[in-house]
Amino acid sequence: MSGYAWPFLVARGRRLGYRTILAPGFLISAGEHGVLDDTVVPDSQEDRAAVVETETPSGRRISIVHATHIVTAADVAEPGTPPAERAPRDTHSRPLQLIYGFVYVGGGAGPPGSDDLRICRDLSLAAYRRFLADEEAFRVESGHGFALRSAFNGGVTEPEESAQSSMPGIEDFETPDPGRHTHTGVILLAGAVVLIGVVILAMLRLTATPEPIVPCPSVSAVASKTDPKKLAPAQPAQSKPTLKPTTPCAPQPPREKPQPK
Amino acid sequence: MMAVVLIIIILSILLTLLAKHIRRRRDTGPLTVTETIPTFNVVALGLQGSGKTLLLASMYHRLKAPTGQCYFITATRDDVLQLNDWYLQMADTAATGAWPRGTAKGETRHFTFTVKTHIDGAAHPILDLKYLEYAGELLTDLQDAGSTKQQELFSHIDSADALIGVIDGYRIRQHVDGHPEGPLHLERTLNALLPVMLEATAPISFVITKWDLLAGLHPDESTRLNIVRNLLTSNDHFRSLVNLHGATRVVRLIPVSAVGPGFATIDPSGEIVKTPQSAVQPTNVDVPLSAVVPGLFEQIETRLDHDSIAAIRAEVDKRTRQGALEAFASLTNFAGQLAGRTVLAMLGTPGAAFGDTVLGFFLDSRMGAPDDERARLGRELNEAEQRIESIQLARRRVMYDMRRKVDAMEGRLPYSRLSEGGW
Repeated sequence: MSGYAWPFLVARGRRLGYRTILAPGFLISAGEHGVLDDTVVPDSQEDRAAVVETETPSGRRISIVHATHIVTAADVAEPGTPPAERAPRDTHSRPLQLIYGFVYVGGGAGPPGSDDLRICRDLSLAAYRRFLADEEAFRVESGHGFALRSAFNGGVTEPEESAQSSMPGIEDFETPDPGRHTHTGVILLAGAVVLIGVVILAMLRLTATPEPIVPCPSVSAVASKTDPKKLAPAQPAQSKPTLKPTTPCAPQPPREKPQPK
Repeated sequence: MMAVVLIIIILSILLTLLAKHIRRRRDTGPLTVTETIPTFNVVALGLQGSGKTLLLASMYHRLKAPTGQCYFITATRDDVLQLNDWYLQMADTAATGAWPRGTAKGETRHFTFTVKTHIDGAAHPILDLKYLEYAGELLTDLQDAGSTKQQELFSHIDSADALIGVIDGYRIRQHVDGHPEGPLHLERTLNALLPVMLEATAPISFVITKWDLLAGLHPDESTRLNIVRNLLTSNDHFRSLVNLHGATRVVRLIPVSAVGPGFATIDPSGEIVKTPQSAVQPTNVDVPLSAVVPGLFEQIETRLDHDSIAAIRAEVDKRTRQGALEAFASLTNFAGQLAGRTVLAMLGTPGAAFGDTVLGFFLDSRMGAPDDERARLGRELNEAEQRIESIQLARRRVMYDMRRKVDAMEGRLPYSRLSEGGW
């Protein structure tokens, strides 16, 4: 089952720091596209996809599929001109990198297809070139939604509006989450089992006949039994002393010692 | 009927939970005194590209072994892997020769370094230093709508125990060379640092990164530092900030290089490029972190009134003559007194949680050199006392070595003191 997703790009310019360059229209209109910038992290390996599930400030659950691309000279070359000798750098001599990918509404992400990522990288590079052309004047662009090529669990399966729209009315429909119903069922079942168990236990306890309470032997008594010196010769028939009481007993409060006069 | 059944069910659940809770409390083992170590939060304030990340990587590399000092630092496995990765990328002059990529906002995180020293042949933790790693643009740029990272950063700054202002040496070099970007960038740096540092109660210091790129200013390093110092203090705002913080403690200007002399040069296009087949030899990267705790304690002492100082000195004096367990008990008493409470409040530490740890640390740091013979050493000690005694001595050795590092740098570079006073 294919889903519907929106490309995004987070990158640093030659002068300006990391920011969201391209984002889904519904995040921009809700003033929440900063969640992309906050969430994605670059990967040491290029173009390897990673999936992050998160929530926007308004509580919308989204999945961000992202990968990293180091900008090459060819990536930023003007159309019709040969690329520069060296890859572009920022003003601090560091390589430029793109964190690109797509966003879809909901969770349960699986591995994305390379076609989907390639589409997003191309869209991102186009947006990035526009950003580099005038970093200070650039404003975040709204990415057009597209139908994912790969089989992808979750997400919005049918676009409310056509792909031409930058804000395809995502706010209006609820995101299906098949996993949530299964989890709720399991929790309810477990709860019921526990409740029944507690009630049965309570009933058993209430109906059980209490055994007579036998006081535990006092410490001194036990000690005298175990101390052979204290065994009186008049008690030869006494059985072998044991510290364990033979019947269940309850501890008794210590008696007060008689005060010397 | 259903409601009654429901109430009974709920009551039985609650009673079961209560019984379990009581049983758990009864089963608690014997009371033990757990050894806690204090944590100090450090935030390096610097713009993007100023060299915070490479300073961090190089600093870890320099302090990861007890070479040149009795202490060393450790971190979690993941953090070590990340720090090593940055360091190796930085040191690699082969392949592309690229510098590590900048930190993204999503990579904002703390690196917790445990300062350890050896006691009887085993590594023992003394204190934790939490160092915030973040994208420099969070300090200066307006953030995208819905982003919360900037708010988080300023919250960390507010709760920091020490602030390190990072000034990009490359921009200083541009300034000196008459490049228009130089003064502009310096102004941008000070605009970001000053509002935060003016309101900070935590001790502040300044670091000049990429010190190796300033080698051409003057062959003598001390004179070179004086040139930079004069350039910075010619800014009224910077001077007033130093005067404000310098009233209670020393404010330092520490020149550091994560890569060391000759490793990188500025090419004609203005790009910083690595010199092929050169080796990394970091300079002073261990000083900023080593100065954190002594600087914090020094600031506390200078802010105390005469009575509190007298009380602390009396306690320190008593401590030198007491046995370890006696000193431990005395400390609890001192924590309840006015001077003790004042110090704990200044450390922002709840006395009940870390009374001995931080306060004991503070008092130990006010003692003399750790090799001073103390009366209590001559006494016969039981095992527990020996253990506490060893830990206290180890703490003092660590504090002494930390101060020694700063003192050694000041000896070589007297202009590193932007203000006078303190230790």
